[in-house]
Amino acid sequence: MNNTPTTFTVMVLLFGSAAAGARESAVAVFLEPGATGADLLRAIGEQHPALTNETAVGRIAADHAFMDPAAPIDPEQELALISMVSGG
Amino acid sequence: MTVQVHITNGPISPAQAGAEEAPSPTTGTAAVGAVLTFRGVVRRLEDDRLLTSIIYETYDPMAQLELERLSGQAVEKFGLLGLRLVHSRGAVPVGEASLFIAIRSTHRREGLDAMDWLIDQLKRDVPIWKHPQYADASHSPCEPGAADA
Repeated sequence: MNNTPTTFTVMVLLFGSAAAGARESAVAVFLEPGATGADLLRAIGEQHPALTNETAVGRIAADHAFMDPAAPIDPEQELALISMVSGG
Repeated sequence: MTVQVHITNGPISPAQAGAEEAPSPTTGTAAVGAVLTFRGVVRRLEDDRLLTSIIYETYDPMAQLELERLSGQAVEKFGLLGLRLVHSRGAVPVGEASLFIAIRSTHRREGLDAMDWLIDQLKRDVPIWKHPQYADASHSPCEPGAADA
């Protein structure tokens, strides 16, 4: 019997224009095992079309630090889409 | 060499900005030849529209960590002797300060360069978003890439 999971779900926090566009503070995203930060960014845009523009300029943060796009997603980490910022 | 970073609620008060006076030779910081301070305030006009305030949305604690990281990088990159930074979260009325940076360096050149670099990096990397509140009662969800202070 094959018990290998086919997908897993992560929650991604949203802020700024991303949260405004999605009208949500977080979205659920389905990923394949072994998905990377780049895969997550792409999946956000595909599964939540309102965020497509945000993912084009955004970056993924894991546990409060920008993530290497090639690094695998750890579903235990706090994930966030950091869209274009405007502090200062 | 000290680095202090703080995110505060609302506008930055004069007390929070603190006195950045030149140290006396007896304080052990006789190498300081330049003390630079920057105070970013909320403009009255944004895209030719009157503002009443800006609301700063922050992703804590990443904003704190990123400000600390960039401040540490600035000290190392430019050989600074001290750096203090305060950024607001929440509502800041027009004319009030939302960003304060104080830099101590041996010479003015590295201090000026560090100040410019740090503000550019902050505007690119720190997870803080502005939500302008206009006098005509409308508001933008946020204003990424707002004009430099």
